[in-house]
Amino acid sequence: MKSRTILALRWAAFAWALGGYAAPTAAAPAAAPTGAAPAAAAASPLGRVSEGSDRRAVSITVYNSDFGLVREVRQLSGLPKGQVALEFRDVASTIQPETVAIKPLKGAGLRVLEQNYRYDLLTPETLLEKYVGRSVRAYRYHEATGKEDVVDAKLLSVANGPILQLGSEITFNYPGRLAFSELPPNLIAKPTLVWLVESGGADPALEVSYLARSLSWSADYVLVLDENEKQAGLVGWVTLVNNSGASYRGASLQLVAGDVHRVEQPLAYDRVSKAPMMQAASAPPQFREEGLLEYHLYTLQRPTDVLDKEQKQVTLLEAAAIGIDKKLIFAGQEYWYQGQYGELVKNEKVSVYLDFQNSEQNHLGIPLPKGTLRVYKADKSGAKQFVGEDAIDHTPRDEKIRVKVGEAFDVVADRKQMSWSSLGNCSSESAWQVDLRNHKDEDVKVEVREPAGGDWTIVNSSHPAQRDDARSFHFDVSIPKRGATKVTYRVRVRWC
Amino acid sequence: MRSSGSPLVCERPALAARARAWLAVLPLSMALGCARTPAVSPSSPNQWPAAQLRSDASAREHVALTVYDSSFALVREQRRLRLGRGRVALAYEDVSAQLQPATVHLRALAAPGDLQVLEQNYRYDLLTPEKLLEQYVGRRVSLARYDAEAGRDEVREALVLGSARGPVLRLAGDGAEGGELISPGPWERISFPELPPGLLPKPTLVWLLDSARDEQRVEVSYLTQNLSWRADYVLSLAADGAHADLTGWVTLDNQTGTSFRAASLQLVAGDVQRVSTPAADGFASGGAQRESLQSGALAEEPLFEYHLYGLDRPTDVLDRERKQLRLLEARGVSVAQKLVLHQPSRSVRPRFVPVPRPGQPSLEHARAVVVLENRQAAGLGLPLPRGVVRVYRADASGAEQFVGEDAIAHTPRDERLEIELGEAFDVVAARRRLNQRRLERCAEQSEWQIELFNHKDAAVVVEVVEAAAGDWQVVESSHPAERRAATSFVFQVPVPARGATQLRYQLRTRTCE
Repeated sequence: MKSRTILALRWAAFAWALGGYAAPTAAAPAAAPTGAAPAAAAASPLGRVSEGSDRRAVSITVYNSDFGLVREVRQLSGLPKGQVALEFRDVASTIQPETVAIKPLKGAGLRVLEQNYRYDLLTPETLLEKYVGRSVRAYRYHEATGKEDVVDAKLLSVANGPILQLGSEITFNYPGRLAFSELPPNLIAKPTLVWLVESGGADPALEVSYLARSLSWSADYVLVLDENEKQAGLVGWVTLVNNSGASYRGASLQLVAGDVHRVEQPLAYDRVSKAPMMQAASAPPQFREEGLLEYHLYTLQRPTDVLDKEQKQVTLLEAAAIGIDKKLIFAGQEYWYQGQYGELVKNEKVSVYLDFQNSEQNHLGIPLPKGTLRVYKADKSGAKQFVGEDAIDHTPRDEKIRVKVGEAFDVVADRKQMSWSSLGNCSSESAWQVDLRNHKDEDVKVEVREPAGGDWTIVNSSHPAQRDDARSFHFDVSIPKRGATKVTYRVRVRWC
Repeated sequence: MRSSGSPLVCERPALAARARAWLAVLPLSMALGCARTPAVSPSSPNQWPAAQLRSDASAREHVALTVYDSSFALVREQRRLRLGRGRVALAYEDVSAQLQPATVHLRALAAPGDLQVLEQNYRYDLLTPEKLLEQYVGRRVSLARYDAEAGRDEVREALVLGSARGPVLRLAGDGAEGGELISPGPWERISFPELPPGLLPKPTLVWLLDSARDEQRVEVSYLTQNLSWRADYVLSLAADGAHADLTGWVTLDNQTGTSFRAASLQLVAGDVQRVSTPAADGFASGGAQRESLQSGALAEEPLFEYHLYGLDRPTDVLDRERKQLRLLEARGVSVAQKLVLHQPSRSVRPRFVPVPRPGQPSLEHARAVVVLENRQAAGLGLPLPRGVVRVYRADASGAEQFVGEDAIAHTPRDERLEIELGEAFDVVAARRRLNQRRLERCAEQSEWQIELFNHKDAAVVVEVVEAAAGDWQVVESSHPAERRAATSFVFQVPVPARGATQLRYQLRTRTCE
């Protein structure tokens, strides 16, 4: 118990001492001259800095998988003739330095010799490390005078905490703070691009492009069903999220839909995507679509501001009077045919799906990038209510989309295995009964899906079985209003 | 770090464990040490000289780096040393913090016989507060208590009793607190009269040398970890889709903890077997420069079974810096594009796909691939070191857009490269097994149908790669099947614009003997 207290006290002292060290260094980046002091000290050629204010144009292309391509043009001025170390600031902090490409524009008279990305950061720890074996000054507070006393010290080691030599004594835990006389070369406030260029003395314009992480977009769709659930209107939104550490003002914005192959898979990123507002504005589409290799490229027709830590929503597409097919589906499981189970499910709700064809006849026929589709329907008073959502994959035109909306409240089913017998190693014969009940005031149709999970043969059945493929079949069953229907069948399945 | 003439160096031989017989000679050796006389009596060959010399980066005259692409590098540097004559101990500083001590090699440049290495040590007993305390157990220290009111330390003598998990001290004297056992509080600090020998601020290379000249030029070479390079390529596809420009870059990353200024830089491409040290000799750049279309700053030459690239001017390789240099450039390289559909089980990486809805076959997207022949006839024919190829293509406005990247292995010339770009949005396939029949105990026949949909306005040809196990045979198929390997076969399926094509085949497999 005692030793714990002691340890806690010692740690308190360490923390205090470290806090003391941190104080002067926190101010150091600000105190450093705003010119390229670290870079100039690091390389013999003259240093110059280019900042965001040199930017003449910027365009960003954002991809589905959490990265973006940034392209910007900067006008440099006052470059001396000869070799110059050019520090390029105000780029995304999530930049992938190996993807940086520089292109001097028309007659810039500039040649790039080297591209460097420096990340030896100025921190209290690196500052201490660079001062090992050197003289520092130690300050401690004198309450009576209200001032700090100063002593000269030598920093002997920083492994596991600084050890000082004060005159002829060696000590640690010094109750004060350390001060350093100058910034060691190379240490920089944040990771920086430094290029070694051969300048012809003119004022060149440069086009720089790079890939950056944490820029992403996703599609959000709003599907509004009409009263009799036969037609719907669709609005697609683009939700753009910028966490790249830089703001792009007046940027031309482009989006690529498609899964682009990346070598290092970007980290999965939990997006907090909130449902877009319901006012489906009937503005003309703001994006122009074109093919790009095997993807689709959308270009926003006006410049926009994409700020750091911002989520932005822009309409992507709009369509009205889309024909919708509502389906009720009751699906089984593969493994049920491989064992003896008896009564499997009771009062199970039947799932509701919406099908629609992404075709021109159906007033759609456009590529739908992957995203979330939210379904709304108006209530009696005309207010739109949310009825369900589902994820959709990249869907080209002329493909069918099936989304799950939810479970039907009033249509339920039971499923029983009436008999089961093994027919050798991996084959069985079983008899089944599915009881479907409709508690609504109208007739419904339910698709009863049976993934047999193997080579199947129907021995007999109450309803005709529809063949889907070698491993599954289904029954189309109608149920009268406030009534019930029974489906029975006997099947042989071989699963290996 | 050690201040010259400090009394600690004189203390060095006074190890407590030394036999009493040594006591007689101690005063003499201490006197010698303090006088910094370099010579040590030849009768004690393993005796370390009392004074230790240091050499740091300021003495460096030349440094050469040969960087390998598997995260290690060979560092060779030349320094001018003032050693004096006789036996000297030399602490060699400003080397990589990641060096492999067993690979260090020192030689004198002028006359190798003038400098003998007797011992080489890599010391890493670091000076930390804990270590300092440990060395003072049983010894006297001062305890300084800061009186902020008075602005001065109140100092008391104390004896260190223990150091494990924090210091325990016995205060000296008879007055208040005299004889009490305490552990210092945050307002107190322990002051030590001197530094125990042998503790270092950072790992250090120390040699025991026998020098025959006052001044020596030496070359030191060693292997270090955490200095690496890799290639990054930019492939810009032309609008016709049949040509591309390829630019190769070298990305060098230095995380050794040391900066190498004005270094001559060489890079080796190739997988070097690492267990023993790779041959350090034979690096002389005598090879003629290749005649090729590369116009970069790096010149390529063969080295053993690898490729060596040398930069023609010195460069600064700073600590924690990533440096990019142009490796090669080729314009108008012939390329081809194709669409490939792999069987899902063989799909390279998982990707988020919404769960297929019941009754709806899940759609697979074909993958877009760029094929590039690394041949002179195709406009290339260069060794391409392992790296990442990033592919760009101009959109309708002429702006270059990123369309995908892929990793490539070391690719010699005359080899073929397939670079996977990504998934085609508009070319999809639905796969179904229509029939499955058991023929006999271990054999079965199944019928597959792959429906390919092309939603583009242009016709495409999709390469469908199917996998099979065991002893298999495509019995019947709508399109000719081509056996690619023991485990796969391929179909070339044309799909019209905005149309669909059905591929059907019967596969017979036998899976046991």
